[in-house]
Amino acid sequence: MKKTWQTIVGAGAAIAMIASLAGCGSGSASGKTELSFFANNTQDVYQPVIDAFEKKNPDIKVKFSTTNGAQAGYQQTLQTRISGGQLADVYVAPPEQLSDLVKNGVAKDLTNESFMERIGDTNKAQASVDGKVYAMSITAWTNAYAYNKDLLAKAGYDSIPETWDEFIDMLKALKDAGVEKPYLEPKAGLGALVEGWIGYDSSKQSKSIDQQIGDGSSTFAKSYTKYYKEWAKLFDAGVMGSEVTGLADDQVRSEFAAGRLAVMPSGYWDVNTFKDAGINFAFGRMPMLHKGDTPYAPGAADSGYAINAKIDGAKLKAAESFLDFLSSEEGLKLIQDNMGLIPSTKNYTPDIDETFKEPYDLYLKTGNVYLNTLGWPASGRSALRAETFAQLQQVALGSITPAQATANLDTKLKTLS
Amino acid sequence: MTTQHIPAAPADAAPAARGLSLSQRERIRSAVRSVVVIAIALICAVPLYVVVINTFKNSGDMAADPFGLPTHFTLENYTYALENLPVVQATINTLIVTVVGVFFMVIIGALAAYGMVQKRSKLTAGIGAFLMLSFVIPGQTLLIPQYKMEAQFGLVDSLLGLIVLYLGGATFCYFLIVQYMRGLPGELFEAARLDGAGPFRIFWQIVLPLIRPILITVVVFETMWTWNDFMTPNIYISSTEKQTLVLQVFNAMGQFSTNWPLFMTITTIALIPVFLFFIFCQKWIVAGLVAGSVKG
Amino acid sequence: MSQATAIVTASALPEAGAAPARAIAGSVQDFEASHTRDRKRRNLMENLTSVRFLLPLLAVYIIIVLIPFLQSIVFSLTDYDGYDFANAKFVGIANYQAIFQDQTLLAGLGFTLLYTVATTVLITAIALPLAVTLNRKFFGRNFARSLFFFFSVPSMAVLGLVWQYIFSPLGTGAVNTFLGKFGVSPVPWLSNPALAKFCVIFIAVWAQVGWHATLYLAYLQAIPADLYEQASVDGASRGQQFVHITLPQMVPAMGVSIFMLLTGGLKVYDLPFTLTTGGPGNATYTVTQSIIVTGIGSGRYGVGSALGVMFFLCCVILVALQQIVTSLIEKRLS
Repeated sequence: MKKTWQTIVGAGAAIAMIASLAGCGSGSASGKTELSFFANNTQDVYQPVIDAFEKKNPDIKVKFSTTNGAQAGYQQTLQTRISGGQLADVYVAPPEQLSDLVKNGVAKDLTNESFMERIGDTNKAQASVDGKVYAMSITAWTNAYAYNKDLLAKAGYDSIPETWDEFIDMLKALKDAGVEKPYLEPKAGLGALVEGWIGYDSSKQSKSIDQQIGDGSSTFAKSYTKYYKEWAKLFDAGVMGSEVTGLADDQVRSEFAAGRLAVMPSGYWDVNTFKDAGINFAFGRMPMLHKGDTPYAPGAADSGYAINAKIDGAKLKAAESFLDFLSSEEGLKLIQDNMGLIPSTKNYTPDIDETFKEPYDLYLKTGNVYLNTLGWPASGRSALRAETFAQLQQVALGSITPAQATANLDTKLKTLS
Repeated sequence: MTTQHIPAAPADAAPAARGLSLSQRERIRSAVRSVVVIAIALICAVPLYVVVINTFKNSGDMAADPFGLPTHFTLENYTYALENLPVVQATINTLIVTVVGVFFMVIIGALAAYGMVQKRSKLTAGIGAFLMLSFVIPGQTLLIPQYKMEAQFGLVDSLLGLIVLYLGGATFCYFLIVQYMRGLPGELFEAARLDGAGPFRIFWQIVLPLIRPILITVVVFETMWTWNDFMTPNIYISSTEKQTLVLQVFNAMGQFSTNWPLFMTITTIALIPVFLFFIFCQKWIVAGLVAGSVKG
Repeated sequence: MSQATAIVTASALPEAGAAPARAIAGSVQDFEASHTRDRKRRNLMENLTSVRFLLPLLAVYIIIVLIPFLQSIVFSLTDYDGYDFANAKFVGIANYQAIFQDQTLLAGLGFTLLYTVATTVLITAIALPLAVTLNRKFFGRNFARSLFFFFSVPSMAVLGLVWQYIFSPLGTGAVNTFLGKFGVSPVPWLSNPALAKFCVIFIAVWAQVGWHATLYLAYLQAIPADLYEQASVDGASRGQQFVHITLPQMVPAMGVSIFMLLTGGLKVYDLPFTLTTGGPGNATYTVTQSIIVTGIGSGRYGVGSALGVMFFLCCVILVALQQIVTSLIEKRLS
């Protein structure tokens, strides 16, 4: 017994030694400028881009690090690292955090950099604070309706109709034709398409509707209620049920991939999954409220690349040539091929998968995308967005009306500012 | 093996008369127990089955039917994970962090528990209550202060930094062990002290072997937790060569969507070692104590 | 005690044997004085030894937990945004006032309490008999023990996904497919507020029961075997043995397990968040989710910290109550 314990203790101590030795290994690569890069996507998709860049710039070594997804995980980690003074030289700056990053002086002003000439106006506008651009956003995303061609054909349709009422008629026709689930939205994406409607209505005003809510000149109750009422027609018409309040993205995608669901809100990122599933599908428009409305969809510029404002000298030069490379034709092609993001710069026309042609032409080529959170006060955007889904879930359950939902959003907004 | 295994025999039955009928009855009982317990365990294990079965599918196949057997059986996820991810380096890192971390956590916790049961006074009671507070502090509020502190000492992005944070788990070890120690008969310590043994010797030679069931339980809990922890290395580790095994699941999480079959594959690869570790350890949780030492 | 008695006897005897009554009386006084001095010194020494053993843990605890927590108390009085603390301004108790205006927080408090009580009761009620069963001999025991323990080991991200498929409100969800075979129409598991609460609690019990059974299993080893031997000689049945020996002997273990469940339950976040994101509506919203969503995750670290501090205070009260109740039960039983 005694021996056993001594062995265990000895082994533990030995490993402790090894660990402390292992802690102080690996020196830095000699003579090269090391550029640290913190991204919100995986290493395997970035590695080809980094390899190509290092090949062109043999004196620079990129030290890559990442954390998961675009959502809270990345933002939280970025924030924590900044609080400890551990920010990378180049990093991805999510639009939600941009104003905080600028306020804390960690994002360099990129307005007059030569590579910014390639960047489209929508992308620039989203990465700007007080008229100055702080991040280089080179890609964009949009929602679109993915539809199952075979199921639509059952009701005699071959594409998504232009207006919302026609769309609901189509869903009814599908249901009559025996499609049990014509349309589903995920619980954390309920009512996403109202953002397209708000985007179009905002385009006719000098300030977007959500900016008006953000600065207090309008309220959710005044401006959102009519959109939510239109959306709630899905339940009145019986084409979507309250079960959506318990369906995550993955379940909705599964229904579609299994060929049981006719239409779902989706995006370019789903192309490969649907192809693997072997269904006959395409991506189409998201219907507008009235005939003749310019099509808009929920979407935005992707997070841009920012340079740490605290670096200078050779590091800064290296950071600038890295951004220059990312926005070059070669870099954009690599980004599209490896990450499945859609380049939206002036110097490059991407090849788009044919199933995604319609939404690309309608929304990304024109820049007719809209994201409501961008108009809201920076602190509390994500909390407010989560609240919109919580409220719409209650509308879906029939426990509150659209008008009550928007009133609750106003209350929430007050507690957040 | 099981010292508590007591046959439910009539009290008046003489040892010789217990004979066949009893062992037969016990055998039937044990068979029934096997069937019932294993059936329940298997039903409860369905989610684990789902995780494993989907490692042999591609995304489309899984999306179309998450529960069924693969329509096109593939080992692609495994080959991808093993060929493209730094599995070996990550395993070494995880091993170092887990072994060193758990070792110190448990020793610190056990020492403190021993100190606590040696003497009950207002001072120790106060310290005990003070230590309990750590269980009700929401961890999320500690995130930034802890990170700032580690950054000040140059501990971020190092395995040592992770180990230091994991030492916080010592309070948990302490708490589980101290209750157990209180249940031990005090005469044992007393006898050893009369033999002239110092407190450290008593700790090593008498106390540690006596608390082995809880010690191994605590080692198992902490190993699982450390091995499997995602939050801490996610925030603290930025160098690829210092990543732990669980962090490799990132490679399945894109910016907009997650490759679930790959995610599950990496999870499976990362968890096989701890599963084996548990099967190995659980025998020791119940493998009888030093015979007779608890008696009287 | 015996050691102390030995010393006393040794020092007192020679005097007592040789001296007259007065001297004896005096020496007794002397003895008593020296005895108390001695005891005081011994007390101090014993305190010091025991504290010496506690020092490493105290150091770890103070550095890793307490100092950061004190810092976050400071944060809670400022408008700190989580980036550079030098830019933060002192705002007094404004953050605390803001908390009480948030209605979702109240919803979160309700479910958090329900979750805590329900999981504590259910897990204790299941884990204890499970541990007793797993402690008996049967074929496949090691396998069963390992399996029960292992349910909760894969990350919540992946388990949450799998359970979402199992409890999917669609007809194609696993449970609904099964029920459908008996002609039951799809049950809105995760899309009905009451059922969603049930699902979250059910999965929490599933995930943790093996863990707590393992803990009980360890404690079962410390029950002296002769208690059972004596009982079976007295003709007690297994059920009686469980009630009269196992249960009372397991009170300390239950104290530990329940304490873990209470504190873990109050802090719960992962499971409801990945499974339901707090929904439908706010049905499964938790306090910790509130700390994260409205505080830390929104760059309002001050508010998040204030929430954390308030939450801490509430937990202290609840847990103190639990401790008092447990020690009362232990006292009555011993």
